[in-house]
Amino acid sequence: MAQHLVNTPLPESTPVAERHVVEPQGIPLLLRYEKGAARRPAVIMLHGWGGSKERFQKSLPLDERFVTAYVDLPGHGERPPLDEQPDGVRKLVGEAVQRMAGEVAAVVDFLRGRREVDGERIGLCGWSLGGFAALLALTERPAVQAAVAIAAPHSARLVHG
Amino acid sequence: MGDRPWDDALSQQLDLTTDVSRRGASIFPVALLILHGQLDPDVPAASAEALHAVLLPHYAACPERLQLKVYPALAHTISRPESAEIAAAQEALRQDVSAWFSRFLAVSSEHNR
Repeated sequence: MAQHLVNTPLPESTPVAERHVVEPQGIPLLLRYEKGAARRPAVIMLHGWGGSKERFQKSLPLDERFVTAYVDLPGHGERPPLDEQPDGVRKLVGEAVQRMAGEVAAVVDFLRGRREVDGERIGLCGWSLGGFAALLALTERPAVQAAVAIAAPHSARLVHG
Repeated sequence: MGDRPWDDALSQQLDLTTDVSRRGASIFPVALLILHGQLDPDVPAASAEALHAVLLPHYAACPERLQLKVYPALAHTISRPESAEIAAAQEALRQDVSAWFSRFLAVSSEHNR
């Protein structure tokens, strides 16, 4: 039996889901790719307020033609909570969005260092708060070629709270 | 969440530091797809239309790299289908996201960075 297994050819590629933390910022992400496949474009996925990388992956999965990096936004998922502010949720929203926007470049650098990723083809996608962070990140000119903003405010003025 | 306007100092400061439309020129030439539900009660679809309008002049040389699509049946969520119509719209949105990245990440372009 063992010999049979050894001699059984592996499929050309195998789906992989890995957890990583981008340091020193401490950005947890869920990396999904096909092991053994040629380098592929990658897309960074940013969830909404109160969400997480795991839930967003279920809501908006991309197919195996892409490497995907679902990220926990500041104050969400596996990340420590943001400090409570007397100014309430709007300040927290602003802080989460601005910090995440500043962290996109680090996630891009992480992906460009991965052998599965074609570093010249990286996308950015966000929904709601994550879409806001994605738009704000784009104004800092990260090495991203394509982006999708879904149900995204483009100013803190448009966030009710 | 309520609807109190942001009229205090904090709001004005946040607005200045986060308003993407003030820095629209810096987004070009990223291929940007803006998707929104017409029935979104949390973030009005008008805000997506306003952003698209602000960005449009910056994409004059490559208008195909900027697109706005508004889904008549969608509200804010993209993952809880409450009817067959909403489920179909949410699936269409997922396919639009995939198609956009397929188009603009799979083919090199002189505008890609």
